[in-house]
Amino acid sequence: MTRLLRALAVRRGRPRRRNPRSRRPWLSRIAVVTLAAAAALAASAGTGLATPVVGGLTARATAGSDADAWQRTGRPERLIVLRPGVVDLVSRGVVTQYLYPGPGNVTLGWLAEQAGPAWLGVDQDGIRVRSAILLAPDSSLTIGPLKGTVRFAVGDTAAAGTWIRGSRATLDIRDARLTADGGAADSPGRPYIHMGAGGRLTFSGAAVTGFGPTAGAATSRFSGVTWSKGSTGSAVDSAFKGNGTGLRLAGSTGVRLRKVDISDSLGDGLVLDGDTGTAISDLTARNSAHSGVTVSGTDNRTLTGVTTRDNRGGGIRVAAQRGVRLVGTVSENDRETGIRLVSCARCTVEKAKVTGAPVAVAVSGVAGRVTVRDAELNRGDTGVSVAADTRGTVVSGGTVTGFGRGIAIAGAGMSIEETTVSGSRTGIAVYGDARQVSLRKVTVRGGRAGVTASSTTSGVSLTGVTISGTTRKGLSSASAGLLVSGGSVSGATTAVDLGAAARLDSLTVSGARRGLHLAAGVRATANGLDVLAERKGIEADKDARMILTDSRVRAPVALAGGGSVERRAGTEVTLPPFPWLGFAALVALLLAVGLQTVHQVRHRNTPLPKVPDHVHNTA
Amino acid sequence: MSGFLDNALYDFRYYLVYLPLGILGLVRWTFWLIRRAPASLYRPVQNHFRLPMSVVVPVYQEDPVIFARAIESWLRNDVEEVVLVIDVTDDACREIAARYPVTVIVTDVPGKRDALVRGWEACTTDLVALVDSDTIWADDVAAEVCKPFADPKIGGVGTRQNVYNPKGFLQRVNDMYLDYRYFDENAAQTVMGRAVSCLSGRTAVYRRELLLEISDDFMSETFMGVPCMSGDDKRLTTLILERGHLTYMQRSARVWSTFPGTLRIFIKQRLRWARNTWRSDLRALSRRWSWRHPFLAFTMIDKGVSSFTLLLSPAFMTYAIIRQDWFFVVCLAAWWWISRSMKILPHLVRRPSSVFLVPGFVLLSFVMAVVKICALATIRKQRWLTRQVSVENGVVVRTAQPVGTEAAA
Repeated sequence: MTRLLRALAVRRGRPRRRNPRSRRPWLSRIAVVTLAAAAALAASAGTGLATPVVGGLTARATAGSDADAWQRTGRPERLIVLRPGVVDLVSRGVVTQYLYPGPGNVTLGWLAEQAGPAWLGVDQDGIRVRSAILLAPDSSLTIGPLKGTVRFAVGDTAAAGTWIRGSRATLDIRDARLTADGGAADSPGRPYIHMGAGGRLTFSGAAVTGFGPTAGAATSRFSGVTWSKGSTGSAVDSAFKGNGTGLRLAGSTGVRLRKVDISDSLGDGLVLDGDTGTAISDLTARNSAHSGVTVSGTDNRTLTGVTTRDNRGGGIRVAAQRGVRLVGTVSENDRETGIRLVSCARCTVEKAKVTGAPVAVAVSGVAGRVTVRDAELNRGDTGVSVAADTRGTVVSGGTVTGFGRGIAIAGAGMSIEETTVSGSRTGIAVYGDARQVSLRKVTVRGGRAGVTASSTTSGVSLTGVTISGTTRKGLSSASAGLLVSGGSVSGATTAVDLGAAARLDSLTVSGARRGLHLAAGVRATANGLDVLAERKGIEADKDARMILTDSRVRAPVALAGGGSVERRAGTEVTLPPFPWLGFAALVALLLAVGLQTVHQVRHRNTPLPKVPDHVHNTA
Repeated sequence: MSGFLDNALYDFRYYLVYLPLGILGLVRWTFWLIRRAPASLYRPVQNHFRLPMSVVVPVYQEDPVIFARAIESWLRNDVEEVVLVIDVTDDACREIAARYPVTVIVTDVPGKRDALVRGWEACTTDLVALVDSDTIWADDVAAEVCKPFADPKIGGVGTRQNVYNPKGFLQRVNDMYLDYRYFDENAAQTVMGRAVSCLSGRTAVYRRELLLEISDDFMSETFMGVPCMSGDDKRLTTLILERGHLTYMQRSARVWSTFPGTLRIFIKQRLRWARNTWRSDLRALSRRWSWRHPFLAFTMIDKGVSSFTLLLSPAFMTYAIIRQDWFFVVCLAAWWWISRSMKILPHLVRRPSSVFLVPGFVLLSFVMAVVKICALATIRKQRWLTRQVSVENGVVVRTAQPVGTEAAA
């Protein structure tokens, strides 16, 4: 009933027909009307309907669909409906004017000239858009090249706002600056551009500023710029600044983003949701209030050429995805996380470079088998964080430098291979419910502790792991059943600190003040262990027991503590080699003192010089 | 064999834990001990030999009080004549000189070298003491410096210097440097071949006949095509040694000089000295005569190399701080303090409170190493600190008119 009333309202509105070329000679007018009639005939031929050929009658035939469009688009106060060959101006649901641009593409400049200042104004600064523009199927609108700025009025309500929407239409914006005109950042009537199914939206050399509502029901659906389901297009060498959500690709197909800068977004910078065939190169999302880039909805995709910087909600967030590959992602000084993978399965992060994020790479959620390969992670609280609900994460190659915790593992089935962790307070921390954690050929340099495993973990194994230059503990484990095979620990206060049963095979310990420490009651076995310590070789607390086979322990105090160390088959316990250089230094100091003594003795009778009273430095 | 290698590598790693800079430190300490051992055996010459001596002093804008005290100290010594070669623009010093029984030569030629030559040409005694106008003598300097000349091979004799009433960190540090020089380097060079590399221009005594012989070479010194303006003392010493004569440091002859108290002037002075040393040492090492004094050659090479090796230590320290290896940082800092204290023991025995200045002395020595490297990089530059003169188109010229010039003219 309401729809019917609206349709009637449109009809009662007595639309005024205006020939855009009314001031031209009458011959031109005839030519234009003839062309419009021909177009109407061509359109009706396919359906076989007897459509009136007079322009005014054709316009009336579109009034019903205008009413539908007006209602469907949220009843905007002023709506321009662009159709092939005709433009309808709808004011508060009433068609007030028809414009006839002729067949083909319509430019915003032409619309501004014809529609009047209440709809589109032209001034010395450029074009002011005061109405919403709906691109009907098969219509085409071009904005630019323009020297001035296209300013879209911001409405106090969504209905008073301005926007460009369309489906199965073409919107081409090139060499133009589009900005929101007036209004607050949270105004529901902020402008936006939205291309729907079958449409094509392209930006080239464009700048879009202040678009996208941040309040109201349309927030999630209409970002600053949206390629919606089934749409396509591109953004090349363009900038999107201060938009609600910078860009949204929601179910789009084959959109190409190249040399795109998205900055100061009030929400996410770029949202990729269910899009397919998106090609990205040289895209930067920076200073967003939320994430720089969010990825969801499309499995088995590869994302390259993305840089995020200074985003307050993190760099890239990938959620609930399968088989996503992030290649060459760069994150600089993003807050919270550089790259966050939530509930991702078989996802891969390759050659990522993350600097300055509190957590460089965070993996969480119930899915698993995430691989972080050849990453370069620098500065922050945690380099790689693997949450407890995650399984099968692999960190392979790459460097992790300057974190509080280089790699923090709480998940199960995790493996780290050939990765170098350096300058982190704790190199690798295995904690929480971590199980079956494997470290192979990992290098940990510097920091306070090299590798730590808490008592709540199990199945931790280290193979060929090199830990060096830590100031406190090289390897500290309270994890029952720790297995160490090969590798070395050097330069720590305590090289290996065991708080639970462990087996050490072919491990080399050197440069530590205390080589090995077993807490009270701990049982450990070692085969081929080689310990060279500055003070104590192996210290076993009360009731602890260490079984050494084919091992060597060299230290000033080789075996210490109240526990027992059982030596089997060729185990050697000796003093360390003599520190010749240290001895040489001591000798050198003594020689200096000796030579000075010789000098003193030989000059013991040297009298003080006779000098005037004003000279004091005579000793 | 593999077992042996395994052990050797193991031991090497073990040593590095205790002394990462050990090898370099060992080499440096060995070199120092090679110098220090003969230095500890040094004794000044004791005899009653005496020759008539004149004092030649180039004077240019000297502090009036210091200048007067210096003249009085020279006159208290038994010298035949005190010849003051005063710059024509310096009325104040001429007025002071007029109060004492000294010979005054007024010169309008800028530069210290010309003043020195004019002075020794005006003298008639066998020995000529070339003295700076701010240098105060002990009462027996003239008698002491004559003693080594009993050996006819000795061509020049130096004295022991200290800072005149040192105040503040930089003057105290300068005093340390001087003690280090006279108890270590110069003493060793005297013992090991009687070839001191530089008889300091603050007070150096030469046979006059030798000075007259080398006058032309002294005045026409160039380095890489640029006439040399400063470094007169080093040049004189080198010319004496080059002609087969010997140089001796008579430590019982003591003098005191003023030294700069500001860092800017201190560094500028050190930069000028370092350039002079590089020029002189590099030239000497390229000539055959220096290798006839192996110990002298050794000390010159050692001094050159140390400019670079000294910087490795702070480099290691910086690396350790970056790695937050605080144990090593503390060990190295302690080693710097202790080892440098050992090397300046003669000074610390004299002034024990200087042990608290050693950390600053160490840090300054790193700065000085950089200064030496800068000096090497700018070795052709000729500048003087206190004199408004420079070399332009191969000629020493005044660069500014001092206050009172017009009146004097």
